[in-house]
Amino acid sequence: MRNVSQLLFLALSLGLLGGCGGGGNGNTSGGGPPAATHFSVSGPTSSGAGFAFTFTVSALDSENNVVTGYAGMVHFTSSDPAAVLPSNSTLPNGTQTFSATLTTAGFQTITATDAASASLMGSLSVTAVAGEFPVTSFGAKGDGHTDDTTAIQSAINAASAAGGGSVVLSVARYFTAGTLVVPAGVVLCGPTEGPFDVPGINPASTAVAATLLITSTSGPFITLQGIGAGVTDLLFHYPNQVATNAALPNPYPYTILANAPGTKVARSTVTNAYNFLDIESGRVMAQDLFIGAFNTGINIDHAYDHVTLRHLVHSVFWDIMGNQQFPQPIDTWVLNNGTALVVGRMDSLEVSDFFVYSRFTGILLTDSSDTTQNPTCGYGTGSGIDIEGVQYGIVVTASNTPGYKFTNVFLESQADIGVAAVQVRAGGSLAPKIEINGVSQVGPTPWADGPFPTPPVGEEIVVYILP
Amino acid sequence: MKTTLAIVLLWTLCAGSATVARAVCIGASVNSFGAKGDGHTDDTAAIQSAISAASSAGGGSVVFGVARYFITGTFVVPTGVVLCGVIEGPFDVAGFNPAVTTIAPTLLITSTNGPFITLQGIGAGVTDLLFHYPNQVPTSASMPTPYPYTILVTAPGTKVARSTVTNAYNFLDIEVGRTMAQDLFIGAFNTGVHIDHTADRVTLRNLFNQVFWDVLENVQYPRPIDTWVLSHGTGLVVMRMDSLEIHDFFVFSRFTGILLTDSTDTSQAGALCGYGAGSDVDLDTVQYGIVVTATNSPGFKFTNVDIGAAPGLGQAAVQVKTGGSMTPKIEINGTTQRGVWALGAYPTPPIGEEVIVNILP
Repeated sequence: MRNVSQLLFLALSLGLLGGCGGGGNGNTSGGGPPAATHFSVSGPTSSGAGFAFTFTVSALDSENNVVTGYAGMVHFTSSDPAAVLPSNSTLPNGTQTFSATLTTAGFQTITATDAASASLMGSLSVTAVAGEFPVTSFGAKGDGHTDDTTAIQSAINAASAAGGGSVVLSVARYFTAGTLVVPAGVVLCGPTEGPFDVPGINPASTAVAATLLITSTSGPFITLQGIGAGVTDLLFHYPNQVATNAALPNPYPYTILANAPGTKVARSTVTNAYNFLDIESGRVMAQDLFIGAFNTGINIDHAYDHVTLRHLVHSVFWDIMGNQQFPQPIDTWVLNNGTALVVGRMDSLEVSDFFVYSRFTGILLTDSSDTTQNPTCGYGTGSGIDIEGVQYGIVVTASNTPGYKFTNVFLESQADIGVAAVQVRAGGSLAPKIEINGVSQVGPTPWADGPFPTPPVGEEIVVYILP
Repeated sequence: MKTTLAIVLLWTLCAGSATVARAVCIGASVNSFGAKGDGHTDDTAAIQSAISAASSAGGGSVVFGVARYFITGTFVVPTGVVLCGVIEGPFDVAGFNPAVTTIAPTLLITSTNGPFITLQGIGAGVTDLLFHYPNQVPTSASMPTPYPYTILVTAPGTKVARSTVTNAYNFLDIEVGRTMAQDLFIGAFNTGVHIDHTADRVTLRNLFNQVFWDVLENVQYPRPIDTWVLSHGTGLVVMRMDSLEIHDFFVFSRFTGILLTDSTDTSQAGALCGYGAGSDVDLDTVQYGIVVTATNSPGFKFTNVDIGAAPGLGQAAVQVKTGGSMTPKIEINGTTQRGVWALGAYPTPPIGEEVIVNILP
């Protein structure tokens, strides 16, 4: 094994020979080093207007090899007259990284030119985007171990101070020890469209998306506190959660608490959460989410207006990460405790394209534990609901007028432990009412209470069961 | 042997490129074209310049920052140009007046001449914006000031997404097929969405017609203007339409939730009315839930419909009327109704016309 410096030396020697064969020009003569013919300027394709970003300049020869002996001075210009640019600089060993800030939003260029030879140049095209606040500009490292909580909160606060904006994370692993509060008009987002899958990939060690590594056990990790606040295109992961061979998960607070109307959680993934999303306001949207939460996927309460849930996938993402065969020991706990959706006080739920795999209960429609509300339960509609591998599919203990209506529902029991596909229970604050138009159920073994056990007297269930 | 050098070069490239490239709404900011966004300077010309520049470039995003862009004119959006905001919508306005407080990329509309935005080219669109009419009357008024539609769609492949409108008179007029409208908060006094002249499919998903005018003033519903809306406002009007798809459609406090009827343009070739399907439709506090006067074959099919009467004003949850160009036909699989309806919840349709309603107890 030759070491790197030997390889470099050998490569440089070969490059020198090649340069000589080509005859050379410019600043070379005789047996001197090859000529730099142009600069490579590489960096981001977009940046937040007003925020610094880094880019790299390399002196290259006609065959795009780095000219380590380049001894000239590089001068910088930009199409943005207000750009903050590096001062003239050399390129030690032919390559150097610089920082610049574009302040005028729009398509801009940064050009590096040899101070002595205007034809020796290269440029970078960058779109400077207004209203974007890159967390890297606020000191976030994204290296998987430095605590980035303060840096990310600083970016959020800066966006808020500007009236609102997108706080943009890069494809990197942001380790956090604390929690975040997102005020009105600020959206925390990733740079690539989610949601993200994790087959065979541990987000704690590999960045496949803009990833937030959550370790705080104090309060919700993110509180969407202001109207219009949101979270999009992010991957949330709990690196300190137990492995799938554990008997039970570590409890954590909710990953996200939505406290204000107009908030949204979209195109994101969570893995190894205990509880994922707590919606405590109406006019909230959650859509296109991959949810790996051991205990509660989504909880809704105190929602005095419409809430839309669309295309949510609750699965055993913890098994998938390790490429392990289902079921693992922790899945036994989830099959006895986990619930994908719990609905308490809720005025008009809209749920569609809702998928659940391997939980205790798919959907629980019940009374709020906060009895100061009147009423304490909800109503709504849903369609395209697929709940597989559960003890209970849908359980209803209370509903406000006119109850719940679901269409196109498929329910499958978990082998040997399935209890009921749809169960209506007595004892709630208001008579539970559920109407299902088009449902099928299967089970490798029968449901212990029958798929649709007879509801208590005076309470209603209408189920059009497809053969 | 150049592999090592290539690795060194690649490493330097990667080190410099760990950064931001959000997929949506990347392009020239209207601020680059001189738009102020200060809430009072007229930004019409600057925004039109940005639209023209994006169009000249073959298409692109015209980016609005979090600011209040005051506009006296109207815009035509050509092929491949999308007007978009820098933060994901739709936006709520609870306790915020968008005319004075910036909470989103906001367009303040004052023109009374023609639609504010005409999506005229294929693929044109509007996403993640907040539209507000600062000169509209307050909720204490007895009736709203009429304005043309906020958005007129005249080309296929256009889209209106993740946006909010407050204090509009009429919001969205779809006049062509293959159009999508989704994730919209709609505060329009007279007409939320209107569809006509569409010889192809239109998709409406997660539209939320609400009393956002009350919400932004932080006043208790109902206000004087709500009385007018309860006697005039309609969530959705469908005329000539080939294959409507509508899901997660919510209406609160309007005269009619959905009106399925003949086009007033009798010069159209073929049918004057439409057909389609929908699910999860919640029409709350209305005089009429769904009214059907004419349908093209095979009619309209809806599933999971909940209709609530406006207290003291309810007329009918689902009403089929005579006199249209073709026999009205509506099939509802699973509906509930609440409140008191003067004509009965589902008044018996005229002889020879069809309604199939699986009314759940």
